[in-house]
Amino acid sequence: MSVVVADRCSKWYGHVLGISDVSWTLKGGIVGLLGPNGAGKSTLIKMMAGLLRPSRGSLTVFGGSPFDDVDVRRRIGYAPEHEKTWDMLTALELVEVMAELAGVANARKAAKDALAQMGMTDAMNRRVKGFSKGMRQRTKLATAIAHDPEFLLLDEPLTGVDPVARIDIVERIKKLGEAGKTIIVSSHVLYEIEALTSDIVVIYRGQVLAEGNVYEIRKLIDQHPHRIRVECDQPRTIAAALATADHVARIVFERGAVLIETRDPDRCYDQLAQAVLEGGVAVSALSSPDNNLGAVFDYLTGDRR
Amino acid sequence: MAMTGQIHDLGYKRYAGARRDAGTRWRVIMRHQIAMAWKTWWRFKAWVGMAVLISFIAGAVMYIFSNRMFHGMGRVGDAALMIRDVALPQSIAWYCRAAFITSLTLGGTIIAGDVQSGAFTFYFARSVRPRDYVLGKLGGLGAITACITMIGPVLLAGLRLGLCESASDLVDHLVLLPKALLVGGLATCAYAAVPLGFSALADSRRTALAMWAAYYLVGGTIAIMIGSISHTGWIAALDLPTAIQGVANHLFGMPLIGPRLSGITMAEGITSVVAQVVAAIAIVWTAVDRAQKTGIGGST
Repeated sequence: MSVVVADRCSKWYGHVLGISDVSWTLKGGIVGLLGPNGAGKSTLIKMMAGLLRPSRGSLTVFGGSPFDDVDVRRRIGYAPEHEKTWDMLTALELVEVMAELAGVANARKAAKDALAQMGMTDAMNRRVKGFSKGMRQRTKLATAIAHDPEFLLLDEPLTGVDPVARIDIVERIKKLGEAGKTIIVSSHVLYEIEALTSDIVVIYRGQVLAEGNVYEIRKLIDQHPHRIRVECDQPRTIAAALATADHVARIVFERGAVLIETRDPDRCYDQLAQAVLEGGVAVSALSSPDNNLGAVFDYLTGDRR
Repeated sequence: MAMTGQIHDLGYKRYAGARRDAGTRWRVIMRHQIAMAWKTWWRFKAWVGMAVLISFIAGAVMYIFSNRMFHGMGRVGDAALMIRDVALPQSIAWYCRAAFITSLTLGGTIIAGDVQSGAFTFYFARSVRPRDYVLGKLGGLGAITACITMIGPVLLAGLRLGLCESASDLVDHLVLLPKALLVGGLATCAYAAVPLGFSALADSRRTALAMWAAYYLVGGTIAIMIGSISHTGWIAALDLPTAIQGVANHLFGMPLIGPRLSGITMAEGITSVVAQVVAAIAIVWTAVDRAQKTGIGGST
């Protein structure tokens, strides 16, 4: 049985098109939903989560409409992209409420288990207000898995997370996949998706362009410089360590950050991690602007301006 | 790009653990609402404290003026007994003030706050329906408001029964309990539903709060003025505290004191409160249903 079946599914926000005529079937496993910002990833995920109803066509999850059928929604776990949450609650209280809303009988135990799965046991009695970005993401993931859903929708779960937390979260998502859950992870950064799965769905301007193996699209993307933005206390130390590398095309300094353009992201990430460790640099955020991906998609769709 | 590779079917397992019925979600939302209110002293606890103080003062007045020393003192004694009996209805105005302050710290911002904080995404991505949400929020705010507007009057009615001097006196005054329940219930509905309705009218907490405060304070004052000038009871009854106090005074047989209350009949008072509560619930229902359908609360 297919987990998700979209049949000529479209969604408009007034006159703005979110998703256009998408026909797509998901059978299971971990699947990366890849596309630049504004491509329609969040819209598609929200439709699968039952937060939006398709304007035209149909989208079913486990054979039912997630928008209309609460029994379908209780089989889905959703971690939204946005950071907003009830900050005055502790992580345990937040996850417990979410588990209760999903109908879990022993919500406190389920919340503790979910937080333990996300490595948050030590911090579970602290208020979410004081959490770092990585801890917030892990708490959000815990809210999504607390009711033990079969299908997980993770909207940009690695955005803004520091490198160490990123590796940790990736491993935890992989474990959930190994446990048999169907997981969709969205991102505008190919290298985030690549760390999780080789199966991707490429979405651009509201349409599913392709689905399949990540390595094919990576070959295309590698021809374009990949941009990495590092927010840290010593941008010059990072720049000095990478300035002589042959794969680095350009380095730009910004306030409290350095932007690196590279033609070999793998090597660049390795050297970046080394520079951080050797220089004792405190990294507050690591992000990858999606201009390169947008350029590739424009190229793929023949939209060369 | 050509279609390449295959997505592997790793399969999934159907969750077989215990689930609560979908009909229980409103209780979870209600409980969460109360727990959130209880977290900060200035949102709820302080105003419960104010209600306790009102009850204590009114109770003390009832107790003191029930003293036997006032018996047989002619007009002074009669005045004392009257003060004892008006303590309960007259305390209603003070409970309404405490409930209004609570509506400013809690009720007037609930739904706008959920929209602002993105909580709709959390609710409606789970097995929560709009009716569960509305019922839960109304129930939660109703329980919070009842602590202020219902418990005090009922306790005072109980105290008045305790101060009865004979069994026949007790039987005569038993009716005070349902009357206190009715007035308390009316005030609870008004101060829970109407601010909640305003909180559903705006996407920002501040705007919702400003609208509710303006409606209650400015709109209420205008209604009283027009009602007094035109001697039209139903217009004056559009002011919520006036309507509730009017109903209380009629129920407890108190003289209608002052221009605010002089022209209000019990039917006008009850009709005004019920109409405003129904309108508020309709607004809440429409706003939440629309928000759920349009996916508000999530970011794109």
